[in-house]
Amino acid sequence: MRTNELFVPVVLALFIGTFLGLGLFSFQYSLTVMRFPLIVGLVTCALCGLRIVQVVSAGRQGGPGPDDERREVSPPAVKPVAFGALWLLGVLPALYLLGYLAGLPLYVFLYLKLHGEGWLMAGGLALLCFAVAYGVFMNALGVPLPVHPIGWP
Amino acid sequence: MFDSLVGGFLLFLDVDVLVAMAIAIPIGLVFGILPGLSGITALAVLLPFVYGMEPLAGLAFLLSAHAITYTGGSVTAIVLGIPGSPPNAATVIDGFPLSQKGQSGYAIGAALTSSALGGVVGVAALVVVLPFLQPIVTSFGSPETFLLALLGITYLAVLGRGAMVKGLIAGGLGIFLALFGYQRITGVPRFWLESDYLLDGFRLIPLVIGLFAIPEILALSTGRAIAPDHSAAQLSWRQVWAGVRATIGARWLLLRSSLIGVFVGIVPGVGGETATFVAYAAAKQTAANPDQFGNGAIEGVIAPESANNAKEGGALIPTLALGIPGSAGMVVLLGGFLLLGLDPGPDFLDNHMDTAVGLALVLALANVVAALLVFALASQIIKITVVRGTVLAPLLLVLIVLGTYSAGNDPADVLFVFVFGALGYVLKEFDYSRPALLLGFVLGPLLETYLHISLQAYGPWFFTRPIALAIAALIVLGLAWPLLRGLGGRVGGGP
Repeated sequence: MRTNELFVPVVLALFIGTFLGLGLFSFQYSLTVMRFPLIVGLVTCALCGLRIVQVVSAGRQGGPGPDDERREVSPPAVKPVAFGALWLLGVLPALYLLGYLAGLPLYVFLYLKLHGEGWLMAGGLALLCFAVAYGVFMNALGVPLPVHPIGWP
Repeated sequence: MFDSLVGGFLLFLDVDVLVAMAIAIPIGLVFGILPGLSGITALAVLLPFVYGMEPLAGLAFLLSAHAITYTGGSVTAIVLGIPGSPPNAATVIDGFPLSQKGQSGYAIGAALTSSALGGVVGVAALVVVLPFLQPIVTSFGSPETFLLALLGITYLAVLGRGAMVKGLIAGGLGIFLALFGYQRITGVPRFWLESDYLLDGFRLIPLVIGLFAIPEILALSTGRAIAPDHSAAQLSWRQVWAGVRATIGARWLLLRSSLIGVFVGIVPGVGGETATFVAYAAAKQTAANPDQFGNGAIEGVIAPESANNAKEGGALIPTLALGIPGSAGMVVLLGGFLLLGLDPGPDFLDNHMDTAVGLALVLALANVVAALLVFALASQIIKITVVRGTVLAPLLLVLIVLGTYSAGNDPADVLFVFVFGALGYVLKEFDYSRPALLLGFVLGPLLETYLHISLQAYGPWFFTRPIALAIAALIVLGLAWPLLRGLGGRVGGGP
């Protein structure tokens, strides 16, 4: 049985079920408020259940599900993806600790330098980011970018 | 009417109008190319600048910038796999696979031609329909609008890459996510978990950027370039020309998709995203090669791009005739009208038909000029495809962060880009339809509101009104179509 195929329908059913439960029993919303979420949520949960049944029965028969894609999806290598995701998430502490004007160029500089780019490329593109953030967004478009740190831990 | 046409044409040729357009078109293209900045953002940013302008010049300035953002957005959708604005998301489905195969010129040629011609069809429809408008728009009540939105949901199954159940699950999740925050009917905040951010629900821009951009940037950050070899960065004019010819060859698809765009644009409240997805799904359902869709079918680029630009002509129709904005962008444009001393509504066409005609001409010219401008710049834009992923990833991330923040001036939006990015990555890996989720999210509040009004006003049999019944029949047909196709294939000895 392809247990990883069960991941999405199970998690989504739990997510939707949790919020429906909260709405009904914890927040105690009225029927007018909950009617449409109940319709949509229950139908979606039912579809998740159907998907789970499809995956389980296909696993028992040893073949693809009734309307599964025929293409083969090769699983991505976990390590480079996790590494890449951590690098992307790194922009958040830069923004929160240094603000947008300093955090973004510094993030770009460090990212490029630690991925093997030269000083000129890393410095030049970091400056370009600063120019876009300050010149285009703050001055030309009037976007009030947070200049100062948004928050320190 | 003839006097109004001549008057509108003369107004359109005014130097102020042409200068306003010349300034607005490049601005609109930049807004389109930058992920996160959409047409409505362009309108919102430019609105203060029209104060004191001549009415048509001011409106031309706003409308030109707004309408052509989708032309710019199609290029990033094809080349980077990142929709420049939400309605361009449908173009990603087939445009990006074409780019990965080194056929970005082909896709760009088709997209730009479709955008220009779709825009012109939209304007033609606007001019034709204007005199007969009021009875058409007023015949659409809540039941019809609800069912039209449901029609869009029906296509979710078609939009899913093969597995209908997965498409429907994604669509259901999209609708459910749209139900967070204040309920429109009662004003009660739903599922907000005592977080101020969730009072207004999840925002569209972080969702779109997270679902579509983050997974691509993550793939780039592992080191690959968008196109595997350097030949992809050479914009082959032969490819572009082939794309142009493919679009002209698919003239019926273009016309049908444009008319879908106009029709969806006319219906107040149904967003532009719906037009592109419905046109895409209609193209897939009627195509001879539906299996090719999602893997680089040129029809999958032509249909959404023509609908995308045509819908603006449609959206102008109720805005001008009834003062009811046909799209979110038109809400801001309505503000522009008021700022310029004009009051759109039933009397507007009696008193300002020449302005309406002038606006239609502005829209047509803006679409054509924008396409030509992007044609001229495309050879430079396309070079992005062979830049190393590790260089492109942080730069795109910066643009996304800035664009997302600009849309709402809220740092939490940037945080949610990553939350939805994780969701987008999981859905992509497990082959769930991200466009279906987006469409569900866009249509969710509309469905709830119009269902409520329909039940209150007409009772449980609201769908038996003539137009509603026709739309309901289309929904049933849409759901049954894959089964009918399969039966037809078996009877005809097909696979």
